[in-house]
Amino acid sequence: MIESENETFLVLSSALCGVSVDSFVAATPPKFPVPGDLNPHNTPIDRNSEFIRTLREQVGTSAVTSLLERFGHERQTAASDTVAQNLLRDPEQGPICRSIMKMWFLGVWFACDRPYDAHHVISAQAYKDALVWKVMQSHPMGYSEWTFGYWADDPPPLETFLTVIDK
Amino acid sequence: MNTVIDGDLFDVIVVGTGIAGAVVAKQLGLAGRRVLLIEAGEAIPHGRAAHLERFYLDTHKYPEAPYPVNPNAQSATVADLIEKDASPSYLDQSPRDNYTSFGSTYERRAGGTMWHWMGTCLRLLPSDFHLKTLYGRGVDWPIEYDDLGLKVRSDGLSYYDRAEREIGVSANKADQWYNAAAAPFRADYQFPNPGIPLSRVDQFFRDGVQGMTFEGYPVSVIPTPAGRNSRPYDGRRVCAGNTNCVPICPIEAKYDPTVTLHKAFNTGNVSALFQHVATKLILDEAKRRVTGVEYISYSDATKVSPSGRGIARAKQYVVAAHGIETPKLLLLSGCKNRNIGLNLMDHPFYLKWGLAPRPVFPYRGPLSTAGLDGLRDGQFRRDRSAFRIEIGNDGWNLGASDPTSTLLDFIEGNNKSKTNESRESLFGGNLVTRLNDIYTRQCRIGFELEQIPSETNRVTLSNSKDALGIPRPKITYSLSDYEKRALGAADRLTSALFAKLGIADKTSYELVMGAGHIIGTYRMGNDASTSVVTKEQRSHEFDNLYLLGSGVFPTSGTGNPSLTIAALAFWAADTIHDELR
Repeated sequence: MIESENETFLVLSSALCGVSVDSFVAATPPKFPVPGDLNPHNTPIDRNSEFIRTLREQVGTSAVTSLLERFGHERQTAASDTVAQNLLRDPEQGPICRSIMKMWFLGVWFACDRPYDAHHVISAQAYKDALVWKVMQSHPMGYSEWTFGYWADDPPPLETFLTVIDK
Repeated sequence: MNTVIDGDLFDVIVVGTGIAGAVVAKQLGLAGRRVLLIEAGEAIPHGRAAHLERFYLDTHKYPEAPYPVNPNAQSATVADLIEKDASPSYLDQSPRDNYTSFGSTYERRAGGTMWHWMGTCLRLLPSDFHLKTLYGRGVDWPIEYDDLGLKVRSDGLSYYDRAEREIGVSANKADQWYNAAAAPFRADYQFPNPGIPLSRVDQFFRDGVQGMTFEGYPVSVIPTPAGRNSRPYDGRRVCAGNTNCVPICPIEAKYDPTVTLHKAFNTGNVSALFQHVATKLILDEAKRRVTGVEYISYSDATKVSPSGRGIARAKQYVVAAHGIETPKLLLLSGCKNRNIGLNLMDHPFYLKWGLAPRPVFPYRGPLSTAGLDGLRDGQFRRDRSAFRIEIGNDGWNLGASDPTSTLLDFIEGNNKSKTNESRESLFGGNLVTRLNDIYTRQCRIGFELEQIPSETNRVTLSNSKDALGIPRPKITYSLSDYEKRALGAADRLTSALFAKLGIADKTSYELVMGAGHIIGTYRMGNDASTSVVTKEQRSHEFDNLYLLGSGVFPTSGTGNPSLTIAALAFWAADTIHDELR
C-alpha cells in the first residue's frame, strides 16, 4: 500500500518530535474517555492536514514533496530517527524540519530563515493542541480542562500525556 | 453637532468605568441617585470568546493581546515597550534604560485595566500609611489603616471588608496574620470565600524557607488573598486554574469590574455613554465648581471615526481614569493645582528565575497563589524600599518567554535560556525528555518594590496628539537610589534563597518591569499646596469634583493597589451620597 503524503508527514513528525503518532492528538488526560470520539478537533488527520497545508503554503508544494519522498525512501533502509537526523543536518531540508517541529510543539509557524521569530499562530486549536503543554504535564495557558485545586497536587505522569519514543 | 445632556437628568457624572468608577456608580445607584458613566472605550462585550480567540492567535500574548486595538482611545502597550523599534507608543516617553522606563500600561474599555489584573487582593499594611513618620521617607497618608480596615460603617463592614465582598476575595484570615506588621482584621471578620490552595511551586518554597531570615526578618510563604473564586460566588464560576489571569481569565472566575458595572446598571439608576472620550472639565473657578464635561464621541471602535461632540452636566463629578488619563484630563481642563501629574509611581517589578532541584510542576493553577510577604515592613525602610515577593506559577513565561525560548534553544542549538550550555540540537525522544525535565523544574519570583513620591516623576501634556486631536500624555520617570538599593537587597535575598532551596539561578538578564500599577499624580493630603485631593478624595480646587483611583495614593505602599482603590471608592460613594442629601 502506498502511504499518502499526509501519512508520511505524520510519521516524519513523530520521528522529529519524539512522540508517538497518537500523542499528537491525545488531550490532557481524559477523565471520561469517549471511545470513538470523532470530533474533528481531536482527530490526527485534522491537525496533520492543517500543518501540512501550512507547510506547503510557506515553503512550497515541491519542497514538501521532495522532503517527504526522501524521508519515505530512506526509511525503507534505515530507522526513522536516523533518517530524521540526516534531514536535520541537510542545509535545505534541516530548517524545514525544525519549522515542522515548532509547529507541533507550539502551534506556531516560524519561517525557515527566521528561526527565532514567531510568524503566526496557525490556529487557536493548534495553540491548544501544542505539544509543549503535554511535555510540561499541564494544559495550554488559557485553556484548562482541569478543575479547582488541581495545582496543589502533582500532575499524572508524563506517559499519561504522551508516549515518548526512543528515549 | 453639539449634544447637551442637561444637568437635571443626572446627579453624578463618573468618567471611567474601572473598579473605582463602577463601585461609585453602583453604590450611588443603589441609593437612588442617578449616575451617568462616561467611558472612552468600548462597551462590555456580550461574551469573551472573541477576546480569547484573539489571545490564542497572538504570537506574543502580552497583557493587551486579547483586546482589540481602538484607535479612538489609544493606550500604551507592552509591545510598544518591548519592541521599541515598532510604531511609537501612545505614551510620549524617552526611556534610556531599565530604570527610566515607565513600564505599566492600561486598557481603555468598559471595566478598565482589571480585565488583565493578577487578582492579588492584599490590604496595605498599617505602616504603609505612615512611611514618613516611621522611617523618614516619602510622605504620610492623611488617613490610616483603621479608616479602611477596622472602622465599621453603616452596614457593619469596613471599607476593606466591602471591597473584599464586592470582588469576592478568597483567603483564610488565619493565614494573613503572619507577623506584627500584618494588616489586622476585625475580630468577627471572615473573607467571603475560603483560601486558594497553594501550588506545588508554593509548597516547594514553603518547605524550603523554614526558619530562614533575611536582615533579621522572617522569610515565610503566605497564601495570597485572591480576587478569584474558590467556590461559586456572585453568579460566577470557580477558578479552573487556566494559568492565564493575565491577560484574560477565560471563565470570569477572576473578578473584573464588569461584574460591578452590571450591578450598577441593574439598579435602574445608572446609564453609560461608551465610546465617549472626555476631553475637558468645564470649570467655574469663582464658584469652585465643575459645571460640565465635554466629550468627543465616535461611531466605530475599529477605525478613527469621531461622530460628535457634546457636554454632559450633573451636580457632582467623579474622574476615575487612573494615574495617567486623570491628570491628563485635569491639565487639559486648565486646573491650576501645581501638584497635578506629579509623583507618578508604580511597583517596579524585578524578576528572578531558576531551576528547582526537583519537579515543582509550574504552568499550573492561577498565575500566582502565594508570596513572601514578611519583608513588607522593617527598619530597612529607612534605607531602601520594602518589597513583597510574588511567587509565580507560570514557570519562565514572564521572564524568559517560555515555553518558547527553551524549546527554540534545544531545536536550534542555542543557549539563550541558560539551560543548554553545550548548545545541543536535539530531536526525538531526547528532546522531549530534556524539555520535560526543564519545564517541570522552572520557578520564578518577582519583587514588587514600594516606590516613594518624586516630583520629577510626572505626567504632563505632550506636544503630540492622538487620533482625535487630544494631546497625548508625556511621561518622565526614573527609579530613585532608594529603590535601586532595594534591587541590591533583592539580589542578596535571591542568592540566599536560591542557595537554601537548591535552585540554580537562570536569570538571563536584568528585568525591571512595570507591575501595571499606575500610582500617584493626584495624591491625597491635608495641605492643598502639596496635594490634589482631600482625604475624602475631593478636589482641593473644586468642591463638587472627586478624583478616584490609585492616583490618590501618596506612596505606593507594599500591596497591589486594586483592593485599596475599591475600598477608597466605597468611601467616596458614601461621601458623595451625603453631599447630595
